[in-house]
Amino acid sequence: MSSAPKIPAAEGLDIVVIGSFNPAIFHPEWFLRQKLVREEEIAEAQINAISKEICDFSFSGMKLFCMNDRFSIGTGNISKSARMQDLLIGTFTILSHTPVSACGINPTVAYKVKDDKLWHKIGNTLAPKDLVWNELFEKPGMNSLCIKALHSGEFPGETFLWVEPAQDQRIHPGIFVRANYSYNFPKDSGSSESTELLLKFLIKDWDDACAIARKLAEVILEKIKPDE
Amino acid sequence: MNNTVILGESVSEQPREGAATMSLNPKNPVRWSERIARSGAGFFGKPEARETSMVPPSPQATESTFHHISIPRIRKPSPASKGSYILLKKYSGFVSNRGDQSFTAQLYESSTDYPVVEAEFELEELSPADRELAVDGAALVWTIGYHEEDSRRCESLIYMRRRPGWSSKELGEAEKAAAELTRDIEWK
Repeated sequence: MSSAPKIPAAEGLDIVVIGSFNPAIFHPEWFLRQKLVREEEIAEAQINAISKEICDFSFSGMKLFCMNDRFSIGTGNISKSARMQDLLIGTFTILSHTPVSACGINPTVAYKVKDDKLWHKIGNTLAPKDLVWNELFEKPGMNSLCIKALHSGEFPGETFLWVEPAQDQRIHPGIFVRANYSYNFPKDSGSSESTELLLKFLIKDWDDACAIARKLAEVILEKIKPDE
Repeated sequence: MNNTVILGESVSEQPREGAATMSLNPKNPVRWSERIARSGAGFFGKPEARETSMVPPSPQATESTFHHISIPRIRKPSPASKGSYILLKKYSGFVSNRGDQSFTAQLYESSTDYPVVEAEFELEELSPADRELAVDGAALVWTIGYHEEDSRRCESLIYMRRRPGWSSKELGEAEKAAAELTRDIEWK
């Protein structure tokens, strides 16, 4: 019988787009005028900063952050992922001549594990200490493990995956997995072409990219079982 | 040029108090700045992909590795959502029949699910703005999860998708793909 918990203790998602942006545009009122958000969502928006250089506000469980060369939207409530995808697609369909150079889909997930013993076993299995670390250092521990992999298909690129101990005491002992699934747009693509590619990437690779952290965590918990 | 980009932490980033290491004293605190320093020394080749990550590039990276932005440190804003959310189930689907008081939807968990699940919902379960969108063929997502704040409550949410309509170019591409598929079918 599987010992892996089926339900994550927390799950989030952040999308980062690298390009050339005008942060002042991204005012909640602009989203409302473009019918990308509802009035009640904007009524509860919490604006931290909106200027020529930076835009930073939260609404409806999502956080939008933009600088001249970076646009990001994120949530710690994974039920918002479809809402976020629609908002991104709607935004960049309207701003169809925005030059973009890269996009990253960054899911995160945390799972609680059975006990400290299993928690240490996961750390020691992923980053064994006997060969190198124990000889050199006192109580070495895995604080973060980063693996780079490739993804192919229409939007090939690199995926970075991190496995870390969960830092939230409510999820202790637990593991935190995050991923950066990215696509760099061809350098010769024009602004409208790159935006079109961005939209396609956000539609075609969305589901696979969003599931990647959860899949990795599930495999770790499936393969590394408690001692009997 | 300053080669460190420090952004507000991601809303889905880990809380960092009482940081722990696996197979080390879990009470050992690790500062955020230390974590950034440790987060990537570039052992695996070009680290540019993390430009699109929510974690800033490592200060150990050389100046030629990243696009540099010199900005002041930004204070971490308050979380975008209060409490936490645990997703139990997520179905995608579409409205198959809309009535006056309710609607029926065909739902699936993954695109390979067959047969799909059919469920009936009261229109009252939708927000007023979403009720107008619940027409035959409209795409939706149904999520079931726990919302935890002071207490835990089970939440069932139906979100009507808001996608821009098909562009003429997309329609043309779809027609072309359909024509190719039809052509390649070998009828027996």
